[in-house]
Amino acid sequence: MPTNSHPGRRDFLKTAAAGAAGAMGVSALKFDKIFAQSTGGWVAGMQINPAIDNRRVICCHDTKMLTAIPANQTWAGQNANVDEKQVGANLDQMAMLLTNKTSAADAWSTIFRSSKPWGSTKVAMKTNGIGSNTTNRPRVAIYKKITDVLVDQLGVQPSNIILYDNCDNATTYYSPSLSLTDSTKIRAVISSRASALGGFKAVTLTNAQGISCAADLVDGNIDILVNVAACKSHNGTGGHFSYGSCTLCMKNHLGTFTDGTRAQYSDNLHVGNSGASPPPPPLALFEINKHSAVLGGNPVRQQICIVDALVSNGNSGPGGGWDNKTDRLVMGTFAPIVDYLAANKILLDTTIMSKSPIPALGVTNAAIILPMFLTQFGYAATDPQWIEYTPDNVPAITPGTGGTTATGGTTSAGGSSGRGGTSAAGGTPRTGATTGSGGVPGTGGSSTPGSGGTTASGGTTSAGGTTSASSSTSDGGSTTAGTTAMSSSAGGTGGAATTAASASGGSSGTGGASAGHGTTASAAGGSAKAAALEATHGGSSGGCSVAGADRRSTPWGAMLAVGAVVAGKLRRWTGG
Amino acid sequence: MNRTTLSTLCVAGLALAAVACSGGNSAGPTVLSPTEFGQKFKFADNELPGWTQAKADVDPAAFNVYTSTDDLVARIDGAADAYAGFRVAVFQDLMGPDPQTCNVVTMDFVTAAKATDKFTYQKDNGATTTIPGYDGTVATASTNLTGINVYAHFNALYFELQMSGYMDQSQNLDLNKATSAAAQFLAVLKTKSN
Repeated sequence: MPTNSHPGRRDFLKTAAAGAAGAMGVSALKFDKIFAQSTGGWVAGMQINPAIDNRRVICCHDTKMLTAIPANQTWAGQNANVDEKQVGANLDQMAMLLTNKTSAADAWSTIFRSSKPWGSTKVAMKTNGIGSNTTNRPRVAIYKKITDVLVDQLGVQPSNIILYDNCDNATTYYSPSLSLTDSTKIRAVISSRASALGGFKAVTLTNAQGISCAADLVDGNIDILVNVAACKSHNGTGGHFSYGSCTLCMKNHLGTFTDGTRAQYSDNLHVGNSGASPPPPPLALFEINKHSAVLGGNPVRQQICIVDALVSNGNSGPGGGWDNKTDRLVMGTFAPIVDYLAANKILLDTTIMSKSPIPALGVTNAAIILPMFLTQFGYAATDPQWIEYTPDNVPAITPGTGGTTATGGTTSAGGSSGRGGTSAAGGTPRTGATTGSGGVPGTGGSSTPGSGGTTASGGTTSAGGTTSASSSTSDGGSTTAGTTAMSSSAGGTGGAATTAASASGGSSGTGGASAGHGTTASAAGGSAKAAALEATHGGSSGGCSVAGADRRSTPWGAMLAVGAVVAGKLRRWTGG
Repeated sequence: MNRTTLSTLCVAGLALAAVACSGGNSAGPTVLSPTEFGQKFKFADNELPGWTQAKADVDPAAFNVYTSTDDLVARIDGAADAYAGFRVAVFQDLMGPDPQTCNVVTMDFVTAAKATDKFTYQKDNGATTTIPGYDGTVATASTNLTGINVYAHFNALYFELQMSGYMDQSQNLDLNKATSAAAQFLAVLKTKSN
């Protein structure tokens, strides 16, 4: 059965990794966890989309998306002045920047993936039906654009696209804007709570009791989950701003998950803190956003996260009306980082939210909670990449460059790599990661052989392109091994990634690089000494993905490192 | 004991306390049922000239009465817990002269102290705009792009008005117009409170 994902690179990596694993006696199965595409929810270090860096978030700032300030806060008013075509064009551009593709069609095909034929692929789109006629909720134009892409480009059946809010009935405000046949509307089915998603099914959580979720998400019947959130502050349980002072894509899933016996509530998921200071971590919020209903599936179910910040709530809480015109859309693949950045770059920016900023307590408590959005998923404050632009100053997209940023996950040296695509496994997790400036832009897509092992050294690029017939040199003595530049490259053509760790022994080992698909390779860092180095792309539009093996999973990294050393020694021994 | 149980006990206890206090701090000498309370504070169409309740086809939630924090979550999400301790809450969405809107929230907190606490919380969170005719310890507002959010308390009752549609021709907030309208709403609510 043909599928619609882009498995080639991942399969290659899995194969390569499995080979390495086999050499060291490690079950290849376990590599599936490392290389993501989990079927069981969040796994540390997983990439939501192998071609898109989890950390990469695009923000379009365009004052023309709203032709005028909405006259009031009503739902009709929120939509009346939205320039649907401008929103659609911007979403295309954002998708291109997110994926580093030069055409919108390629970009959307990179973002949306399914293991099924498109004609039988099922899509759920989360919205926010809470509140009244004046509550800020995602605008119609965004869902329309997404469904246009799904239906017209990819061939998804409108009857297989479901707009839902399990908690607050989405039919209330969206029904007039939906049709299965009218292409001027959102071509989708609207679900009365979970009725079009198989009803509710109990789920067991550690941090909340008596919770249910839409059955079709729990059971994996939904292939793609689209998460669109309004941009709103949240004064938190008890008015203590306990969710990072915001309700964005992660909080939107209080409404995918609900109270088990009372579907119209998500009260059990709300954290009671009784005024505690500092506010406690919203653990249930994190747990549901790691759940297989959201991040399970292969490909991973939740494939795009959008924050509709055309207007935003500052002082007005989650059920209230918008109070600032913010003229922005935000797009990424990984909700925690999308939210972290949208909160910091929009909601907490008093120049943007000048008409009604978040109250002081909200600012204070956001500083406590928001970093948890990263740390709970293994990221650091230096990781998120915010790329904001205006339509008259769109960052250049250079296919083949910048596709890969070796997110440093590994340190490395030594290591093995194989011809044209053998990836070096290994390395130990790297921490830190200050962003380095990338090296020379890759010559994307060209046939210049990747220089494989010669690359590296922090930020130097491997000339991307095809066939990195590389190989690493593990200059003897290296005891740490193996870069994994498991890039997935967003751009360019050609060669599957090659990792080439070169280790010139010892501590100053220069990192390996990967040249994948014509991407600019990144240097994944060298030794611990160089660990902070993260080479971002050489070009302007950096790229996606990945990093070394599970950089947040020390045991795996260690095993891989050992394996890579063994592999290197075997190669030398055999003259390979 | 879970929060729902606590909330139920709390509401029940507060209701008993209200009865014991012979109505001195509540909405009237007799504690009104939630339905009665809702009808008392519901604005009839044109009770304020030009203002009518939003039609059900565009706003099914135009008029609701809530009696617990859990119920309120369905309306305002996790923010509901900020209102813990109310006995009855009435939410009504009104449409005024186009494009003006006003969502009126009336809550019986049973005691004046609790209503004052809630008001003080809002005032401390940046609501500092004066409403004509009202002392800043009784009513105040925060501003936004197209309107104002008003907070007030009379005895054991706490009020919020979320008002939008008050931009002038230059697309700036017409603060005088908004606060004047707010004063009219508060006058009606104060009368109803007595």
